[in-house]
Amino acid sequence: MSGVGSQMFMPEPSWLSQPFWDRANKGTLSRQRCVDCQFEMFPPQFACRRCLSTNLEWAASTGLGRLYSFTVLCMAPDGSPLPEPKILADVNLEEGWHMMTNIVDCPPEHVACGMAVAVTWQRLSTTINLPVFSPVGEANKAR
Amino acid sequence: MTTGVYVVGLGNTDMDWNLGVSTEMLFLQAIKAALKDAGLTKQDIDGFSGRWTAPGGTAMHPGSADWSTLLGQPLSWIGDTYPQGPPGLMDAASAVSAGACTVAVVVSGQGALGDGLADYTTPHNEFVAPYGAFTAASFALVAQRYLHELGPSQGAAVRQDIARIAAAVRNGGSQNPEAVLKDRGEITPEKVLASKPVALPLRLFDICLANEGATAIIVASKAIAMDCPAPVEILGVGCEWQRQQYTMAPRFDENWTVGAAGAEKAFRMAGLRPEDIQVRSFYDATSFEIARQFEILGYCGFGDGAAFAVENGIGVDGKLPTNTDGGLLSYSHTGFGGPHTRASYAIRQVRGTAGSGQVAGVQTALSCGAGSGAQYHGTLIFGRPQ
Repeated sequence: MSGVGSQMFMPEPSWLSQPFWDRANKGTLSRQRCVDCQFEMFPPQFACRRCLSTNLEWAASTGLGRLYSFTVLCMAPDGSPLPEPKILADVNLEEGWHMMTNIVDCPPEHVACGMAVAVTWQRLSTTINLPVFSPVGEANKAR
Repeated sequence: MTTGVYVVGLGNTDMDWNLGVSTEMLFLQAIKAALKDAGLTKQDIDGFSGRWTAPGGTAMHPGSADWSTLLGQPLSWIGDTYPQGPPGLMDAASAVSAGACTVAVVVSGQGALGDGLADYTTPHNEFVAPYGAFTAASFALVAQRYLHELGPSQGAAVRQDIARIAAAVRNGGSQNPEAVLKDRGEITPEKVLASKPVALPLRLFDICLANEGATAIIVASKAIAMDCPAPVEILGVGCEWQRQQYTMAPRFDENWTVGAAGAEKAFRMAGLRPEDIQVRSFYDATSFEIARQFEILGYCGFGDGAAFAVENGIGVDGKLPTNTDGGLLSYSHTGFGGPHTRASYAIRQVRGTAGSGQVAGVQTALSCGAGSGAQYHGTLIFGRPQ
């Protein structure tokens, strides 16, 4: 997989994010939901950012969504050129939340705002399984 | 009602790469220059804001700057604003107008980057960093969706106009002997669009510098200011924070208008409208942000920022001179000091000391800090003393 190698940033889960990474490790994408007002929340917070309730639960996502925006990265964060372009993206999940991610298995010239995507996984270590997304449906046929 | 607080001293170090000294030393150079400029001595300082390198000198690490000890007297106000520029000067002006202190130094910048990358450009957050995000990439996510919202036809035209904006700012920098990118010859829009892709739609010439340097700004009450050689009043200020930056994807729908409410507050405080401002010191973290700031500050409608800037002209001879010093793109971007250097440029325009980028007869100028990708933004308005 391009752009994924020894220089890869390795997440170190915190008390707040551990449930996310535990579920990710089993192949389940999840986010917090406020039990009191049903607000969908990501990244994790210690209280609901709509109603400040601390009555939060972790809920599984279908992992299906649409690309809200993207940028074709030609440079790594350290300023070095990437061997091949990488797509950084913001995906709207169908439950009504969004996350930063990468789009994989998609040539940069085919990526477009609004395209349907589904979660797939990149295993970085025995404990970190990173959610990324790839095109589904028509976007795939177009390739 | 204006703040009634004045900028009385301004000090900038050289702006460049590899200045060869620490951040603390650059801060000290800038402070000394600002004191000299104000005709004040260190004994006059009773307020200090210098986060980075240390929050007011309380970090308790060996080598961290302890400003109250260095200044030799107890301080009655210490600011810890993040960052300087609009938020830092807002806090200092508040402290002066509340009587907490009478003369406050607000300093920011960065040094000792060497050949390394400024640390702030690379976020370490676990939900951002694994995907290869960096500062410019966050701004690119917002810019891409902006183009999408405009549609293919207008989007393409806007991209062309934004290249013209970047070229105009960079040409100002090329002619500015103080700029990091001085003497670079003429930059054409074609060169901008042909520059190296970094985080598309952003290319190298669309993206700001990350260099070394520091800026110190001294603010004081009117009673003190009237005895200083070149006081400039802080007419208005307004800040807006939407979110801790670089911990999630910034979004066009939430962040394109960040700073609009703050700017409105600043204009109201100053009793001015956008068209009353002679020079703008926008926060050009990217070229797209210049178009954005024309829109959110009320100069024009949504989607019209780039065309508006090009039609009116943003160079020294244009109808709407903006970042004629080269801005963050070519003059200087000193990290957390970036918003402070933009304030410095606006202050210099009001004083008539902005060098190659000076516009004739400036009564009022505004400066901004941060932007859509950072999810916060602030505006300052400066004017000649009445």
